[in-house]
Amino acid sequence: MSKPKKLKPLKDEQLKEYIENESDLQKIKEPSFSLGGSIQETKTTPLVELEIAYRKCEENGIFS
Amino acid sequence: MLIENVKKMEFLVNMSKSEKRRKEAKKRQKENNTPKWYYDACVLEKRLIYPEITSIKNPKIPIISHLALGEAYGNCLLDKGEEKADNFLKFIKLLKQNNFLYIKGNDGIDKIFNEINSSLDFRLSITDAVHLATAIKHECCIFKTADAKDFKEINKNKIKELGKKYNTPNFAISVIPLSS
Repeated sequence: MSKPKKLKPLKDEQLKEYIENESDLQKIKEPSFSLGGSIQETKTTPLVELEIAYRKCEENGIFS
Repeated sequence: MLIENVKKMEFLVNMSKSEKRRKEAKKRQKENNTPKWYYDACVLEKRLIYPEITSIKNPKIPIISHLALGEAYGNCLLDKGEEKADNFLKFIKLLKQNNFLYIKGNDGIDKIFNEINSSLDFRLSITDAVHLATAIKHECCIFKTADAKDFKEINKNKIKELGKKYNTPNFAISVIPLSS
């Protein structure tokens, strides 16, 4: 059985690209910790979460 | 020898506590010197204010009140629907969690509220007066609003005097243009 791959945290450029291109912004995740080489839990970083929330408000036409 | 060592340890612990206290006092002093800015409900719908709120170049403590949050959420709910209003609330919650925004209550403003109503040449709406009184109560030096119509006639000197009376000598109203 092959070992599960370790996921690396996203680099800034990748993150920026994801934010710009990804329509489902909730997909932006960063691994918070891993056990036995596999990702057990993912956690969105607070500032990314804030950015996502801001963009959602923009998309929803809340701001003028 | 043992007693000496115990005393030395006590001294070190006290020094460490004192250093901690000194750092805490310094932090408090820094926080106290950081100007507080109050944002009323209508500015929360302006995208312009968010880069300002989150800016670290111009340090400030951005404050909104329960009333401002309630009004902004209510407007959003009625105009855009529940889902979009919840997204807005989540955004505000995240700003608060990341210490970009502080939410204060509107309690204890009665005296300032009455003074606002009695000292101004014209009567502000109840909600505007509550916002203004809350800003003064929390010693905010800037009151941010997009409500130019209601605040344009306000006597700036009288407001400044009122601020001075409640420990905010440079209290000023800053109106964001409607087009922004």
